[in-house]
Amino acid sequence: MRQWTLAALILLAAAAVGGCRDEGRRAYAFDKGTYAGPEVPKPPATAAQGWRERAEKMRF
Amino acid sequence: MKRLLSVLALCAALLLAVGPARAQSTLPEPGRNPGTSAEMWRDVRQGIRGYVSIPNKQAGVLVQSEGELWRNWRNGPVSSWGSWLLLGVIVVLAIFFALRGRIRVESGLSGRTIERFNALERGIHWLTATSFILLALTGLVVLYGRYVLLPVLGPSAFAGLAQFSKFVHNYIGIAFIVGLVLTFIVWVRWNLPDRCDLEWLKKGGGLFKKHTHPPSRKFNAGQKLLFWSVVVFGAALSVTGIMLLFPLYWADLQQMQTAQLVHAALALFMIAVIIAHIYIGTIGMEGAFDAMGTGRVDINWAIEHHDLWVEEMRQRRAARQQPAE
Amino acid sequence: MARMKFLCDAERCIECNACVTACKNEHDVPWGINRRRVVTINDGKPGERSISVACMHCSDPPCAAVCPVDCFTQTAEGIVLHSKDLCIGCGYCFYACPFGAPQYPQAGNFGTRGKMDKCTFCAGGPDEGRPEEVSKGGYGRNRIAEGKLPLCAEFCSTKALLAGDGDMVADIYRERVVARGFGSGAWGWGTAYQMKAGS
Ligand code: HEM
Repeated sequence: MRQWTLAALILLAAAAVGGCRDEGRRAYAFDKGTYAGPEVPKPPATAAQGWRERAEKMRF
Repeated sequence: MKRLLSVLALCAALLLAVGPARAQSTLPEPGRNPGTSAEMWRDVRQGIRGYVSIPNKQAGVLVQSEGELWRNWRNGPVSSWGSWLLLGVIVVLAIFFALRGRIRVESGLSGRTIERFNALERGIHWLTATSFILLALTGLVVLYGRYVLLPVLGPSAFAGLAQFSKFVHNYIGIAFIVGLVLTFIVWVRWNLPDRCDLEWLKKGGGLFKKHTHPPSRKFNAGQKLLFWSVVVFGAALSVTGIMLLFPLYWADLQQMQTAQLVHAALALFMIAVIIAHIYIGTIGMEGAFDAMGTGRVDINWAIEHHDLWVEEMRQRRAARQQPAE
Repeated sequence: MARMKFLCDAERCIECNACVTACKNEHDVPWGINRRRVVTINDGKPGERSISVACMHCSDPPCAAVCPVDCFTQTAEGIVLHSKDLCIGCGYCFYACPFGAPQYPQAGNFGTRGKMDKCTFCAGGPDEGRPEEVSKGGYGRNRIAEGKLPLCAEFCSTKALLAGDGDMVADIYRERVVARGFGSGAWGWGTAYQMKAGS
C-alpha cells in the first residue's frame, strides 16, 4: 500500500508540475481559447465589394 | 453583509453626487476647442454613468474596467493558486500516509461499540456531505473543465456536461444550505471551545506521534476547527452563491464580480479542507468511518480519541439508570 | 482582408436611437435585451455628448478568455461570435466585458439566466441552421454574408456610427477630424483594439 502511494505521488507530482506551468502561462494573458464550436461559415468572396461600397457611403 | 452593502451604496451615491459637479468644470471656455473635452473621455474611461432611455440604467456605464480586474483574478491567481492548493493537499496527505501510515486503534478493536452519532446526525451529515461533493465537482467543471475536460471530451459532450453541471450546481445549492443550517443546529453545542482545545492543538492532536492521545470531549479541537470553517465559509459560499444565482438582483455588477471571486476562492479552500477531512475519516484512521457509517464506534477507538466524551456518556447512562432502580 | 470595427463619432451622434430600433427590429431582439444602446453623458447640460455602443468586437476579447466552455470565436473579419449551443449562461462574459455587450436574456432558470445574447455585427451565428429571430433563440440576420454592413450603422442619419473595415472607418473619421479642425480620440478603440489614440 505505501509503495503504491509513493508511486502515485511521483506521478501526481509530475502531472502537477506540467499542469500548473500551463496555468501560470495563461495567467494575466488574454486567453482566446481554442473555440469549441462548429466551424464558422465564411461570407462569400463577393461580399467584400459590398462592404467597401457601403462603408464609402458613410463618408459625408 | 447588509451593512457592507449599504456602505458600498453610500459610496456609490456620493460618487454620483460628485459626478455632475466634476462635469461642470469640463465646460469648454469661449474660444477654446469646442470638441469633446479630454476630461469627458477620461471620465468615460473611468466608468461614469450617463443617461440611457432603456429601463436598465446600469447600461449607462460605457466602460467598466473592473471587468479586467475580475478577469485577471479569476483566470490568474484564483485558478492557478487554486490548482496548486488542491494538488498540494493531495500530495501532503499522500506523504503523510506514506510516512505515518494508517492510524490504528492502539489497544486493538474490542468488538464492543458505543453510539456516537444517531440517525438524525448522520442524515444531516450525509445531506451536507453529498451536496457539498456534488457542488464541488460541478463547480470544478465550470472552473477547470475548459482546460482539463474539454480537450478530452470534445466540444459538444463537454458543453452538455457543463450545462448539466450548472443545473446541478444551481439546484443542489439549496440542499447544501439546508444541510448547513441543520449541521449548525445539532452540533454547535459540542463545538464551543474549551480548555482541552489548546492542549490538543499543542500536541498536534497526536496525529504525528504514536501513543499520544490528548484528551477530548465529543469533538476535538481539529474537529471544532473543521466545524467552524464549514459553518462560516459554507455560509459565505451560500450567500455569494445566491448572489450569483439571481444576477443584478441583490448586487450590482461590481459586487457580483467580487462575489464570484470570493465564491471561487472559498470554494477551493473548502474543497482542500474537505479532502483532508475525507482522508482522515476513511483511509487515514482505523475505526473512524464507522461513526458516520453505522453510527457506532468501537469502544477502544472512542476511549483513545474522545476519552472525556466516553466518560460523560457513561455518567449519563448511570444517571439515567439510577432513578429506574 | 477586412478587419471589421465600429466607431461612434460623439460630435455627430444626436441620440435619436435609430440604431437601437433598427437593431431590435432587424433581428427581432426580445424585450430586455439591447444589443446596442445610446448613452448620453452630461445629459441636459452644456457639453452633452451621446455615444452609441454595442459589442466592439475586440482584438483580444475578454469574454473569450473567461468562458468556461470556450464558446466564443473570432471570424476572419475580426467579428466576435458566440455559440448558443455551447453557452451555459453562467454570465462570466458579462462580468468581463468592458462595454456591457453580452447580456442575460430575461428567460431561463430562476427567471433571469439562460443563454447569453450579444451583437453579432449582423453576421448571424457561428453555426448555421438556427432560426434567425433572436426571440426564438437565434442570432438574427446575416447581412455580412450578403455584402452588407451592420444595419445600425447603415441606418444612422448623421453617419455618427461607422462600421466596416477598420482602415476605412479610421480613414473616414480622420478626414472629419481634419475638416473640423479639432478632434477627439476614436472612442473605445483603446479599450477594444489596444490602440494608443482614444479612450
Ligand atoms: C450553497 C449554495 C451555492 C450556490 C447557490 C452556488 C452557486 C453558484 C453559481 C451561481 C456559480 C456560477 C456558475 C454557475 O452559474 O453555475 C457558482 C460557481 C462555482 N461554485 Fe458555487 N454555489 C454554492 C455552493 C458551492 C460550494 C459549497 C462549492 C464548493 C465546494 C461551490 C463551488 C463553486 C465553484 C468552484 C464555482 C466556479 C467558480 C469559477 O468558475 O470561477 N459552490 N456557484
